[in-house]
Amino acid sequence: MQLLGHLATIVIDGVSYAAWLFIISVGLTLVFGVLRILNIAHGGMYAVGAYLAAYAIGAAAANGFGAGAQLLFAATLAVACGAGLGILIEWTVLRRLYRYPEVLVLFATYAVFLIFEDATKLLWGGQSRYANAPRDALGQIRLGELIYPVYDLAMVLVAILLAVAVSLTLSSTRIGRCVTAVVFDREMSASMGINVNRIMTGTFLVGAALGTLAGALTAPKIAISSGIGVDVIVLAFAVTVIGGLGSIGGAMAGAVIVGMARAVTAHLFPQIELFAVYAAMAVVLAVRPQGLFARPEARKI
Amino acid sequence: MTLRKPDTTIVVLLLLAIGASIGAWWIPGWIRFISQMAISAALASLGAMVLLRAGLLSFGQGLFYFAGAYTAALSYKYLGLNEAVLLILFSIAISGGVAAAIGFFISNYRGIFFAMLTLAISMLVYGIAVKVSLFGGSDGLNIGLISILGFRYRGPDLQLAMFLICIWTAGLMAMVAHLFLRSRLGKVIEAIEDNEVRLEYLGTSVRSSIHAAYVLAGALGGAGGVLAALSARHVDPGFAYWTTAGDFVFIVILSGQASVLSPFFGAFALEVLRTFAAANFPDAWQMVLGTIMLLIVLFVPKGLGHIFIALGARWKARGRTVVPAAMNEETARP
Amino acid sequence: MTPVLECVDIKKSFGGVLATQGIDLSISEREIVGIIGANGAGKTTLLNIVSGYLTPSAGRVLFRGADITGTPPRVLAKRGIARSFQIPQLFVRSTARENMMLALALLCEPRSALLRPFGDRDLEARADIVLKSYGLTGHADSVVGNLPQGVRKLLDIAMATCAEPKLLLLDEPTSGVSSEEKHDLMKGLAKRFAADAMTVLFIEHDMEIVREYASRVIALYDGRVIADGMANAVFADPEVKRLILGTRDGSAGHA
Repeated sequence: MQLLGHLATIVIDGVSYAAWLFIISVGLTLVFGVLRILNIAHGGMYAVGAYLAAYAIGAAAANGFGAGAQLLFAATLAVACGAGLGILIEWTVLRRLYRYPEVLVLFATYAVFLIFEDATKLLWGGQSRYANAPRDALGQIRLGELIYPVYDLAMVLVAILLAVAVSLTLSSTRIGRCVTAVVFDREMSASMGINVNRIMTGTFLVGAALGTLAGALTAPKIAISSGIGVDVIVLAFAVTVIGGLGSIGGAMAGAVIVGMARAVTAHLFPQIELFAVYAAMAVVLAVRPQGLFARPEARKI
Repeated sequence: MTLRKPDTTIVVLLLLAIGASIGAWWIPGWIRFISQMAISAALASLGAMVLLRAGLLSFGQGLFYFAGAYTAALSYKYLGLNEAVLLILFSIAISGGVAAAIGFFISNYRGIFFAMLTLAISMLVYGIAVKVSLFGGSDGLNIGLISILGFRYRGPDLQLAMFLICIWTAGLMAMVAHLFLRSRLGKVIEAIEDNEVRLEYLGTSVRSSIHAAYVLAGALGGAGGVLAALSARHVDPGFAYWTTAGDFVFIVILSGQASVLSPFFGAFALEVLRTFAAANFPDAWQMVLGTIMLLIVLFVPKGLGHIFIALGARWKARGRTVVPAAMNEETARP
Repeated sequence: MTPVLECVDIKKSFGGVLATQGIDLSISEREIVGIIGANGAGKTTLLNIVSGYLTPSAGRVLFRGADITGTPPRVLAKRGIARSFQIPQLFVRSTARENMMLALALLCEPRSALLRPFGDRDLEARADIVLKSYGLTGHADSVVGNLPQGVRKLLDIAMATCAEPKLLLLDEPTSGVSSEEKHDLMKGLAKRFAADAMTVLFIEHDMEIVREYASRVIALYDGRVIADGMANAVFADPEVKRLILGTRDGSAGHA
C-alpha cells in the first residue's frame, strides 16, 4: 500500500513537472520549427517573464485584487512585453542572420541571452523576489494520502490548453496553415505566395511571448533570481531535442519523458536527480538519433 | 618532389614558442600565469575548431578538458606519478582514448543533435565527478610538488619551467593539429559540412573521418586540461561544466577558424576582455561579453582573425610578404 | 563473359509505395546504355540502388559477377562504380580545382595517403589536367558556390569520371546544360568512354541525345522495364511511344 502511494506521488509529480516542461518548451519548439533556430534567448525571455510577473502580482496585490486578477495581470503584462521584445530581437538581430550557418545564429541568440541576464539583474537587483501570493491563495488539495498545491495541478490544465490551442491554431486557421507550410518547405511556401518573412517574424513574436508567459506562470512557484534562465534553457533544449525538434507532439512526448525521469530519480535516487535530464536525453538520442518524431528528410539526390 | 616553401604556420608557431621561451625571464609571473591559462583554453578551443571545420558544434570540449586535468590529478594522487612530462603525455593519451571510445557513438550525429549530445555526456560526467569522493567531490583535487624532466624545481624556478613546458606542449600540439588540418583528411573534414553524399561517393567514410577529428579534438582538449591542471595545481568538476565548453566555442567564434593560431589569439583576447570587464563593469560582465559576441556575429561573422586575413591580403596585393599571412592559409595558396 | 552489371528482380518501396517493382537488366562490358522514362518511373531510384546509396527491398545487384546488394557507395567507389548526380553534389565552399584534387586524392590513392598534405603540387597538376580535358580550366580558381549550374554539372561529371571507373552511372548529364552545349558535352564524354573502355548507364530526357549516344536503350515505366534493346527498336515500340514519348514534357524535370 505504501509502495502504491509512493508510485502515485511519483506519477503526479512527474505529470505536473512534465506540464511545466511543456509550458517552457512550447515557444522554443515553435520557433525552431519555423525559423530553424535553436533560440537560447528563450531562457532570457523566461526570466524576464518571471520578474514581470513578480512586479505585476505585487502591484495587483497591493491594490487589493484577488489571485485570479493577479495572475491575469501578470500573464497579460508578460505576453505584451514578450511580444515586444520578440519583435525587437527579430528586427535587430535575427533578420540579418537568416542566411548564416546555424552555429552563428545560435551564438547570436546566446549573446542576446547573456545581455538579458545582466539586464534583468541591473533592472531588478540581485536579491531574490517572490510572487507566491496567488499560489498560496489557491490552497492545497488532498489526493488520497497526498497533499498537493492546486496551482501546480492547474498548470497541467494550462499545459493541455496551450497544446490544444497551438495545435488548433496550426491546423485550422489560415495563418496556422501558412505556418505549417513554411515548416514543411520554406522555398515552396514562398513560391506559393506566402510571405515567409512575415510568418517568421510572427512566429518569433509568439515564441517569445510564450517564453515570457512561461516565466510568469512559473513565478509563483519559485524564488525569482538571476540565473533562473540558464537551467530552463537546458531543460527546454532537452525536451525539444528528445521530441525531434519542432513538433508540438514531440515536445509533449519529450516533456513527459524528462518529467518522469526527473520524478523517478528525485524519489528513488535523489543523488542523481539533477542529471536525469541529461541521461534521458543521451538514452533517447542513442536509440533514435534524430529524436522521437524526426521529420522525414527531403530527397537529397 | 620539388623543394617546397617552409610552412608559414609552422614557422610562426616556432618563432612564437622560441620568442616566448626567451622572453620568459622578463615576463612578470602573473602574466605568465594568465598566459598559461589562456594557452590551456586555446588548446581545448583548437579542438572545438577542428570539429567546427566539419560543421560540428561541440558543447562537450569541457569533457576532455576535464579528462586531461583529472588524469593528471588522479595519477598524481593515486599512482604517485609526479613527473610533469609524463603526466602531460599520459593525460593526452587518456583523453584521446576517451574520445576514441565516445567517437564510435557520437560520429553518427550532426547539427544540433551533436551539440546536445556532447553537452549531455559532459554534464553526466560533471554530475558523477561532483558526487564521487574518489574525484574529490565538488572541491576537486590538488596537485602537489611535481618534477619537470626529473628536476625538482621550487618557487620561481618551478613557475618558469612550467611556463616553458606549457609553451612547448601547446606549440607541438598546435603543429600536430596544423598538419592534420592541412592534410587530405583535413580537407575531407572541411568538405563534410558541404556535402557528405559526394564524400561517400568518393570512397571515403564520413563517419571515420569525423571519428578521427573527434579523437584529435579530445587529445587537444586533454592537453589543455592537463596544462591548466599543472599550472593552477588544482582541478575541479567545473572543467566539465557546459559553460567551460561554452567559453571554448566563444573563443573560436571570437577568433574565427582560419588557422591553428586563431584560437590562441581568441583565448588571449577573451582573457584581456575578462580583465577589462571585471575592472570596469564588475556587475555587467555577461552583458559586455554578450554585446561583443553579438557585434562579432553581426559584423565580423568570420571572427576577428578575419581582419588579419583581410589585412594580409592587402599586403600581399602590394607585393610584399608579411607575418599575418600565417592567418591566411585559405586565401594564399603556396 | 560475365556482365559488368546485373540486376535481378529489384524491388524498392518507400513507405508502401513501390518505386521499382521488379527490375531485371544485364549490361555487358563497354555498353553505353540510356535509360528513359517519365518522372517517377524509378530511374534515379535504380541508380541509387546500383551505386549502393539505397538497399533494395528485394532482389540482387551483381557487379562483375559479385553480389554487391546493399554495399555502401564508399566501398563501391573504390571498386570502380562512379556516379554523377542530377543535382550536382559538390563542395561548394571550395574551388573547382580543390574539388577535383579531393576527388583524385580520395579515389585514386590508398587510405594511407590521407595524411599527406592536401596542397600538393603533383595533385594540383593532375587535377588541372582533368579540368582542362573538360574545358574547365577557366573556372579552376572559382569557388564552386559562385559557378553557374551548367559548369557545376560538368564538374560533377568530371569528378565521377576522373578515376576511370569500370561502371559509370550518369543521372541526367545534360540537364541544366544549354541545348547548344549538350552535344559537345556528350561528344566529349563518348570519346572518353571509348578511350577508357568504360561501361556506362545514363539517365536522359533528351531523346535525341539518347538516340545518338546510347548503344542500347532501356525504357522504364512505373518501376518496370517496358522495353530494352537498340534505340530504334525501343523508340518504335508502341508502348514506349504511348507511355513515354507521348507524355514526355520537353523540359528536363525530376526523375
